[in-house]
Amino acid sequence: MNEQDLIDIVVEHGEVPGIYFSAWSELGRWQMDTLKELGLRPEDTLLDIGCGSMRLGCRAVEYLDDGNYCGLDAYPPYIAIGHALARRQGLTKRYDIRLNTDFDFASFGHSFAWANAQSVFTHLTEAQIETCMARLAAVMQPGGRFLFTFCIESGPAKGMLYGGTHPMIRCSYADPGAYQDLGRRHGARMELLSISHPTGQLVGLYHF
Amino acid sequence: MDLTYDCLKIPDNDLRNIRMAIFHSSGPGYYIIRNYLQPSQVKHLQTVWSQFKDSSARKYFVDYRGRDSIYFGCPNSYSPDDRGNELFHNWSWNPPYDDLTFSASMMVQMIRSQVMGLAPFAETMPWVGGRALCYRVMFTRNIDTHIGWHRDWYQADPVAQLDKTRHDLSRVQATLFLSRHGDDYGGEGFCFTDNAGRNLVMGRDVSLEPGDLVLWRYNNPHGVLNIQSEPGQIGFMRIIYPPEIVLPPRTAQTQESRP
Repeated sequence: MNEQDLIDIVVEHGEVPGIYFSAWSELGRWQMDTLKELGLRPEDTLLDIGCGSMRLGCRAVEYLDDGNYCGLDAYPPYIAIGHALARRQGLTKRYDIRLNTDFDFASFGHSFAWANAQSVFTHLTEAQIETCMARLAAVMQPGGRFLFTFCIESGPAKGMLYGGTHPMIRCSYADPGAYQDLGRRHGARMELLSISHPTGQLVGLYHF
Repeated sequence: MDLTYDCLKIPDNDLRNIRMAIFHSSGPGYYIIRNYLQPSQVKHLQTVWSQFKDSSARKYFVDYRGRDSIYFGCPNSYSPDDRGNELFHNWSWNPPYDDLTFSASMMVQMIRSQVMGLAPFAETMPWVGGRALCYRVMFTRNIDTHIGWHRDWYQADPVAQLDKTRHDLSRVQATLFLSRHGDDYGGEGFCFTDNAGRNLVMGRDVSLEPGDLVLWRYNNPHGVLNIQSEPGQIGFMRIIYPPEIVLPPRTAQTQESRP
């Protein structure tokens, strides 16, 4: 998809082609390539937490077997844009993306071999991250893995207006050890990966 | 009176229309807010800034010494040249030379930020990303090329596109027109390539009156070219709103050590 086609779809849904969309292709490719390098197979099920407008989803649906991609996001415009982008891309396989603010992963009725959350923990409070992990642990398959990105220094600002309108609170975890403790509380072992993320965030992998 | 935080925001439908005009391939790449300022307000701005050179406020403006001289807390600056052009860098942390200029500019920033999906007063100060609003008053009277054709906030290289300090498809610039093409200056002026790829002279090919505010797509090619005016003409007067990179505050010692 060319850049202006992407911008047109975003704007038709009342949104602005902001940072999330500026690096659409590069960040989507990074997620897909990384998951495949870590072992994602077409027959696996994938839960995309904070799926946004299917930045990963448009690639993952093509790669995975029919119906194996599920995603959830808290920002309403992204879901509609995601469906529009999937249509534009001509995706024919089934997928399931939902608007949800409660990490209601069980509602998909699947257990997952893989989960992914890119630039999601950077927009959640510690309490929300705790809830996310608890509900994720309940739907992950034994041996399942969860790729996520995070920052250990989010600057002086705690609260933010996402999209200029939606209040969010940033996480204050100050070192990767907090994420290791988080995993232990929910039956997962955290591995800090040495691969670099295009935005400079740190990359972790939980093993359930 | 039902005055709330939310009702001060641009209504969703209007915001959608503005974004469609600026960003969508079917839109022109700009959106004009007609009569943003009334004629009496335009007249005030023309008068107060034309009288700057002879005002006591002159001593509060330093000579502009380039981007390295821009730091948090720096004074406003003034750059005249021998062809009659004048440029004023105004910063939100300084007492305003003119209240209307400041107030109108802060409201422009609020509008522009909402169009870009940012918090209403984002980048008013260099809190995040080290950029701060400069409300730059300009009289361009005689130039061949003031700023040649260029694109801002756009990198063609996919890797460079990951640098959100240099590549951002949502960036909007605003120009508050304060004089009239043809009457106040001749030649071209603000040149802009629309979303269909046509080169336009704003104010000549697109009708604009003093007091009109134009929000335009910063990624599109643009420049300020070929302006002529006669003595006594006000020239191409406008205010633009670049978010400038601002260096950290300087101590008294570091200020003294600089030329």
